Amino acid sequence: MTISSHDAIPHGVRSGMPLAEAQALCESATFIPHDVEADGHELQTLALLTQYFSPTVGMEQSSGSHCLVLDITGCAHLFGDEFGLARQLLAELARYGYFAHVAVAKTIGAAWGIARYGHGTASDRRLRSLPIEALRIPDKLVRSLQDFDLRRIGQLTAMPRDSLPARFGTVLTERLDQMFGHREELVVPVSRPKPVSAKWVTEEPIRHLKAIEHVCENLLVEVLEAIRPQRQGLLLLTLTLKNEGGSPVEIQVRLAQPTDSHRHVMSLLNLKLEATLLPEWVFAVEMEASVRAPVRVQQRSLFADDQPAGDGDVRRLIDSLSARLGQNAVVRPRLMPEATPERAVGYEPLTNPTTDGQADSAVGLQRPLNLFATPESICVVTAAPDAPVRITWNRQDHRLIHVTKAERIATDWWQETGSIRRDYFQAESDNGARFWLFRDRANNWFLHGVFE
Amino acid sequence: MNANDVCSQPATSDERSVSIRDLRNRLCQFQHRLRSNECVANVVSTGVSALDGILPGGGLLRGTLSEWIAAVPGSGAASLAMRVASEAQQEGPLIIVDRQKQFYAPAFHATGVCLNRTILVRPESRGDELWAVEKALRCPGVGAVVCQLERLRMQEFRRLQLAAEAGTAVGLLIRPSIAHRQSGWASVRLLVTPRLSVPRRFRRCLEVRCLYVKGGLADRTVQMEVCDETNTVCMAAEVSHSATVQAAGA
Repeated sequence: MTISSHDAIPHGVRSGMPLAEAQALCESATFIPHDVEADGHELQTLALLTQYFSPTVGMEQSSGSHCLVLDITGCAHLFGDEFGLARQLLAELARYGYFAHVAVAKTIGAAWGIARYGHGTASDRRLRSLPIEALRIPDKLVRSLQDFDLRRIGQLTAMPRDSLPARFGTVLTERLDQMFGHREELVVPVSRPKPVSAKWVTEEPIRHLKAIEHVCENLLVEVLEAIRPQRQGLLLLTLTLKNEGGSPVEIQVRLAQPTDSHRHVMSLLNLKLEATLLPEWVFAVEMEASVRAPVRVQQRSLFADDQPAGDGDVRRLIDSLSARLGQNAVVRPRLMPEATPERAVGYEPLTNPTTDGQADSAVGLQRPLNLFATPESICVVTAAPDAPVRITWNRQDHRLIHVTKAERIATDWWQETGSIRRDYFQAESDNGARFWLFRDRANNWFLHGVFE
Repeated sequence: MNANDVCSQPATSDERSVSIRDLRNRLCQFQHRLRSNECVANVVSTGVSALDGILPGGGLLRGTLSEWIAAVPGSGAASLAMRVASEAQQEGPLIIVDRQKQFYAPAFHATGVCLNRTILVRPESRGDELWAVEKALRCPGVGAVVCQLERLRMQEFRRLQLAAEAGTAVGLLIRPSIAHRQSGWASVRLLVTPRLSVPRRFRRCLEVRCLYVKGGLADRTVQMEVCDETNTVCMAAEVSHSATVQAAGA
């Protein structure tokens, strides 16, 4: 158990507790495995957010705890004073849903110690009263110090300095010096990743598609070489074609999975270039890797036969289809909790998934496999208000043999579609075909779908 | 050895049917030996045992096209094809190429298709539609490709068949009734006709006639009932095999 939410603490769940014990204490809780990498990414994002308060924001290097270090020299007066800055920082983090402890001190060590283990002003006296865990030393060293009954920093500072390294190693004296300001410790700032781009400019403008493709190939090689050392791949590539007089034409290639394959990206780019109306005389081409992500490296096995075909091939297929047909043409259907049949399904583009959840299944409702985009108006002969007997559709007459009872679908006036009230019937005709009809509020009959 | 020899057998119908069955089994064995290793692992069951019975190998072969011809609109051909697709989904995602935007996702559950492993491709033009089907059929790792095609020219059909052979997906083409009179390049052609469901309401009665099977034995028909409440398909009755024994060469 690494950490628990506030609601779980009253049940007795604590960090460091074995998972089975925590599960026994609080059965209704959800237990998620700790993803260190994701935490690291999140912390980097937070670091970039807090750059509002200080130009130099770094992550605390030593321990595994989630800690940001901000160098606020000269920044405090912009927020009132140091207290004001700390309060605003807390408020900003709370807006993003994070609960933080903030401490302001002269050194990194002191601030870390106070934030985790203390409170109040970071005076030397207060620092000496902190427990030794506030020194950022490894757990083994903490335990060996506790064996010697050294539990407070004050006890360590009282001891002769020369004896400490011999017994406990140089780490201890380093940390003590860093905390009290006798030794320098630098903040390693987190930097925003610089955009990777490549540019090609010419005096003689070019016009032919082949020439532009050739230029793009070379630019793509440059861009991929720039991102490959960082083990990153492209997720979104933006190509800008500038011509004299007109506005620049922008083409975007979006990928489902980060890739550093020149061939794959070039084939998608070719598809897009063929489909776009290119400007007349192009004198500059700029290619930028707008969105990058780490590439997952797959080790190839010795025998190619063992490898299961898929996921990579299907992803490439999705990329190619999206490149030619458009992003919104390659979708995954998702069921929506809507009563109106035409709105009961949503489509989510595969190259830019917004959610990654499971689709719920429609329980027990019988729906036709073939639903018309707009219901078609038909002529119906009825024996009774709820019993259509004959319909005319597609210039053909169908005599209805069986008709189910009405299924009423109604929405209220506050819904986007307005207030609808439809009585749906499943009808089987004499030749066995099955239709889905409805009668609306104005007693008009429509054919909405066919049970193919 | 053809069906005419059967007529000279003894008159009792029991003995006749026994000998017919015997002859058929022996012909089957011949066929299996002649056919090269199209192993069982490559066959996708249709999910309906009645239908598996009339297809050689007990199902549809991967890397082939099958044509599902609806005798009338609203016959239930597409839902049967989707049942096969749901079986094929175990091997890879299902790709539905739907130009007219007609496939309705809430109905997929009844056929067993899992929405999470379904990709819906909605091209605008007919050219894009055929391109997408071809690309999907060629891609290894795809389980099944479903498309509703009204008109299909011979060259286009041939291209799709070659694309299917290059890949490992099960290609399921849903065609209207005019396709019945045209020939095609599919390995399996099935005609689905709805029959009136009497006396129990809303148990759909479908008759599936196997018009052509590559390497198959007979022009067989099977009747099945689809129960709407439980979404199951069971065999209603097996119609007797038609008189001509049609063995299309492999």
